[in-house]
Amino acid sequence: MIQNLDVREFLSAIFLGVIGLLFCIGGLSVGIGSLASPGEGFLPLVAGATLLLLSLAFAIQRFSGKGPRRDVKSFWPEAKSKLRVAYVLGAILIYVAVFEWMGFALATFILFLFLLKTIDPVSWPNAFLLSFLVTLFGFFLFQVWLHVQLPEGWISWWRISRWIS
Amino acid sequence: MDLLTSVLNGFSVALEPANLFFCFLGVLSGTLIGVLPGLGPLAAIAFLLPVTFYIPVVPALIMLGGIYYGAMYGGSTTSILVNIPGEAASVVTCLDGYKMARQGRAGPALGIAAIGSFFAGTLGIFILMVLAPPLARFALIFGPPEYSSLLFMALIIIAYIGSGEKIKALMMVALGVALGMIGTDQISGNARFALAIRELQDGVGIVPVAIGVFGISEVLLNVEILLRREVIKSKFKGLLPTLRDYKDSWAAILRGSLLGFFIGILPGGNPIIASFISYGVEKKVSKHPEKFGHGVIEGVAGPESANNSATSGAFVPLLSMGVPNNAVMALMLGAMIIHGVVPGPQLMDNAPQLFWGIITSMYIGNAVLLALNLPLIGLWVQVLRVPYRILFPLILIFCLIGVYAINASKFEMLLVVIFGVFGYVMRKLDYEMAPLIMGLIIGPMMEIAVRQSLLLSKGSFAIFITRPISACFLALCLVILLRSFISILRGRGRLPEAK
Repeated sequence: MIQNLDVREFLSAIFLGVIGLLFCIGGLSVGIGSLASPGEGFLPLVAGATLLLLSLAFAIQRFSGKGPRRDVKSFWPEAKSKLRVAYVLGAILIYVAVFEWMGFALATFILFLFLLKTIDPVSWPNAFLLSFLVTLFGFFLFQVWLHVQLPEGWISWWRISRWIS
Repeated sequence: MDLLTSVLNGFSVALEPANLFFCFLGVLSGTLIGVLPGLGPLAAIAFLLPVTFYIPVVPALIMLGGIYYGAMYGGSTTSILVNIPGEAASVVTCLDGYKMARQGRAGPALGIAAIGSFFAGTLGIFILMVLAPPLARFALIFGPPEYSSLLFMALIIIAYIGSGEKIKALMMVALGVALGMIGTDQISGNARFALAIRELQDGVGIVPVAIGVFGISEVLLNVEILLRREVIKSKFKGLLPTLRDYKDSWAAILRGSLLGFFIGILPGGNPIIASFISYGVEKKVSKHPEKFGHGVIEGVAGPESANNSATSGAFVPLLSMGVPNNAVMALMLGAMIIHGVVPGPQLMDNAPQLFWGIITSMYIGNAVLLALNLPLIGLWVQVLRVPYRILFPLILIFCLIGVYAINASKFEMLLVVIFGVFGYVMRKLDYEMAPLIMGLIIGPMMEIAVRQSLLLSKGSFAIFITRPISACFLALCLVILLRSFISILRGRGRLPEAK
């Protein structure tokens, strides 16, 4: 029984079950009202309970080894997969963290340069050129065309552009 | 107002220079994204949704429509030239399209795909024009109980129709509905589960979730293995099919168009199913079924027509009843709601310019698609040669800045990353993300309808089964759920995978 257990699937069921449980508790705490006048917690409770029950059924099914047979593949298809995913995730998390502080232009340029040089490296001149062009394109698309107020951060090339114009 | 006047009015809206420009832009960007392997129509719409928030509602919706069928067509280019479908509905095109390309007939394969798509799109839009108004009038008799049951049915069918395990799809639907409950309650006005985060008081945004689970997770999955794509190196001479090709494929185009449209209308029906069924039908009716899979033009013409026609069909329930029947339509619905448009039976009367403008713009979009694809095949081939190592940072950056652009919120950027990781892990465990999006969008609509129904009936659930239309929807749900639970109990619960 337990030898056939796909731990990752089992854990995913537990994770979803916990979310379902949280919605049940949340629904009850904000008030489910009555059937004649359902409160704001009514449907969250129903959705949470459904998720919880389905997750339990799924976990039990997997635990008892009755689930459909699927090939238990390695989570990472290649030795370097883990590293590449970690690089990308780390880079975008740092990008989100410094985006407003550092500003759109510098943060975008550095992120693009980093990703071009780490995952499947391109030459330095190409990486610099592409990073610059993409940052410029992003600036024209969002700031100039769509009038989105992007954070200036350290380099206020908006002022430079205004000065030029 | 009769149909002809409405259609002419629609054309006058769609042919306005600004609308024409955004239609062109939508088709162009949709095709561009569709050509890039790994980014299908769903990701394309999610990815470009923020851009449409900065333009008025009519051109925004016209542009989104253009992105959808542009991406549908763009997907077939990669199927034919690289043997990698740009999106799932083009999987079946690989079978004969790629073989034709290897035989030096990439041009006719791409040409017939474009011509078939144009014909199917045109026919589909014509039927849509005829069918949507009576359906909208029928939907006018729907009250909250009928809507509750219809929305419930849409959720159940989307879970049932998926290619993975049904229990996993049902879990994703329930999670989507639960996430849809976060934010201000639309009846009492109180904030729920917002965890004192200002942004969550407006609910979990559709855009960050969609971009996360379709855009970011796709990139994370793709960077795991660095694939080198081999593009067929043939010169695209004789792009137009020969007379013989037309003779072989006209019936397949016609069958595919009709079949695709009616599959597209059905709840849960989508271009993927339409293309597979069309391929099966063509093989069945063919005098030489053994040649299928070895480069026959009917194997490209039928499925390509079917998937484009299904795209038009899917707009019928959305525009006439306000109910999306697949995840792409759910995103379209989300976009409409964000723009302050409530699709449904009243849309045709309340906003005829918008209703008919969108429908007629699809026709124009199909013409643009044809004009764009035949002469620009060479350009799409060049796009295909752009290495993924350059594309993926571009996708990531535009996903993140696109989300920031909506509300200037760093929290929403973080949400994108969180849902990106969630989507990445869950997709590796074979959970589908389309039911999650459907649940997220339909959940709040269903909540209002259910609560209003219970208020009307003074707390009696009998209201859902004593009204005939609602009872019919629920009976269908019951049949589907019973079948699913039996297969779950038997330990199967998986639809046979399409090969």
